Amino acid sequence: MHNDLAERRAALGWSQAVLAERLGVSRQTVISIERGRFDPSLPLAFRIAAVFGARIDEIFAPAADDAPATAPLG
Amino acid sequence: MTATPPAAGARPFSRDLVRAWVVGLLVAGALGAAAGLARPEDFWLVFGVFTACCLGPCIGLAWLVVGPGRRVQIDARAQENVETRWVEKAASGALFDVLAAAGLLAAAMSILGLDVPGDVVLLGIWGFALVDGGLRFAVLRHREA
Repeated sequence: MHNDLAERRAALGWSQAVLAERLGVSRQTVISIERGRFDPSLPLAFRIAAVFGARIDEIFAPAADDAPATAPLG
Repeated sequence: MTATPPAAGARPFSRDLVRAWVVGLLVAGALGAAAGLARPEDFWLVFGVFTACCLGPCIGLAWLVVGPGRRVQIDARAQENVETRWVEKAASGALFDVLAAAGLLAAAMSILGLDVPGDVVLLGIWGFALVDGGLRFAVLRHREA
């Protein structure tokens, strides 16, 4: 998953450790999410969205190979 | 499930730690004495060896039961941490490696007609699983950190 977690965090002046503490996860988890190497669980994704005051789909976007295939109509 | 240690600014658990060491030493000594009584002709030798071998596990158990470990809280959100996924992936990979290695070892022993004591085999499997799991975890952490 692509995400702009790092940009949103930097805009608030938070370190990764601060964000990790607010989310109740480890700092390494925040690092891995920002690098797109770890997808958060649904409860964690909701908490991330709540912390930044945004919707989940505004923060996270599927990668190109994860995007759902659109079936032809009819 | 991983545990959450106390906050960094908390008081050191020196009294609890001493209690854990003392209780661990007493329990290890009791086990050594029991083993020594089973072989009274070499009581002190058996007592010393058993006490030394049991000291580590007894102190660890005492740390959990009467020492600082009893204050460690289980992290309800451990599954949301990337480290938990690393441990799970490393453990599952190590399990399949142990199965493959045990199968190959059994085949080799059968072909070559080797006769290895069971305790050596079990120790070898335990050590292999430990090293393999540890290496897998280290690779995952290096690759994904």
